[in-house]
Amino acid sequence: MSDRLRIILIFLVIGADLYTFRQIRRGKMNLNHSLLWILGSLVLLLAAVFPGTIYWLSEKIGIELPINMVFLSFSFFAIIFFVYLTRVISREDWVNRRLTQQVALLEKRVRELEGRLPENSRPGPSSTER
Amino acid sequence: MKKLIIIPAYNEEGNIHRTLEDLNTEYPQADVLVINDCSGDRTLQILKNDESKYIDLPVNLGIGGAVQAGYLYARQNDYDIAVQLDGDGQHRADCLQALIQPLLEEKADMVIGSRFLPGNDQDGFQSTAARRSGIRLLSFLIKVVTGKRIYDVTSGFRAVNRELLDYYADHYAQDYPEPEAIVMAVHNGFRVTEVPVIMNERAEGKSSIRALSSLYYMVKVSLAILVTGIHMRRRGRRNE
Repeated sequence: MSDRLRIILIFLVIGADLYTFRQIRRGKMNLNHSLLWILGSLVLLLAAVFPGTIYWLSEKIGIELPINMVFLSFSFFAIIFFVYLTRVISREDWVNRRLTQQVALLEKRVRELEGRLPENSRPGPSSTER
Repeated sequence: MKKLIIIPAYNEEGNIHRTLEDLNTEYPQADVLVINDCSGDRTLQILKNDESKYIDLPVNLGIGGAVQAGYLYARQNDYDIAVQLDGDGQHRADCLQALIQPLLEEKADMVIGSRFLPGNDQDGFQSTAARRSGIRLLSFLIKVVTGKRIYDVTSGFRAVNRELLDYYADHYAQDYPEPEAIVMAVHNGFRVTEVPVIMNERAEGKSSIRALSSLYYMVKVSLAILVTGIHMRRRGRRNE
């Protein structure tokens, strides 16, 4: 791994982490959902600062070019992250579905209750806005 | 015995009125609840004009989510039997009594209205040859996974009792849910049975399963049957 690549990596990681932290502070990202990103970037940072770990590991595993070790581990990490995201989405999907169903059921109750009121005392529009 | 008929409707302006009228004359002893799955056509207007009972989903959930909303309603309002019936006029109200009979006799927890039962004189709409072979394949898969032979696995004409509607309110398959829902029921120890019914060809509009998506349908549903089957079997063993 060339020194130039190491420096680029270090800057990239620091930049990405700064961005992530700012998003978290602004409330645009969730800390628990970004934790995996931050952990992954820290591992990359360690590898860039101490390239010896990469050389040692790639020799143990049998990868000739140490940089390929970096690529390989990053694709592993990306796959893990995608699977994790799929889990998050699936849960959100269920939550949204249940909320939609509940809202529709409540809308029916409100509609029917309002229908029982005398004409002049009905509050607001009789159906919910989309 | 409180009975609820759940009708999922997505863009059924051409059929829904007739379906409701048919139910009203043939089977007035049940409540009818239409689930308007965010239709883009005049379905909602028709429901309002007919003064029918309906719920109006604020976003499109697809057939699985829509039907599940019906089961949730059935649970919240203490229904003993919930019947699922398509809004497109394929399912006939005069078959309803036969459909729920096994539930009333407590011989089953779920009854599927079937076009393909052996001994059924194959009257009425039998679908195309391609679809029938797809259905046969899914039926075979379900037999392998659950050990139970169900012939018309994609039939959306089905009735469940209180225990199963309670379960479906929380666990229902999404995206072409019919075959998967059978597997879930069998694996949770519910008794599933079929009765012969006659179906009409859908009067207007299009089926939700079109030629292009039929490959996706087969792959998705086959996979779902296998995954649900394996998952449930494991869980079943653990519980023993």
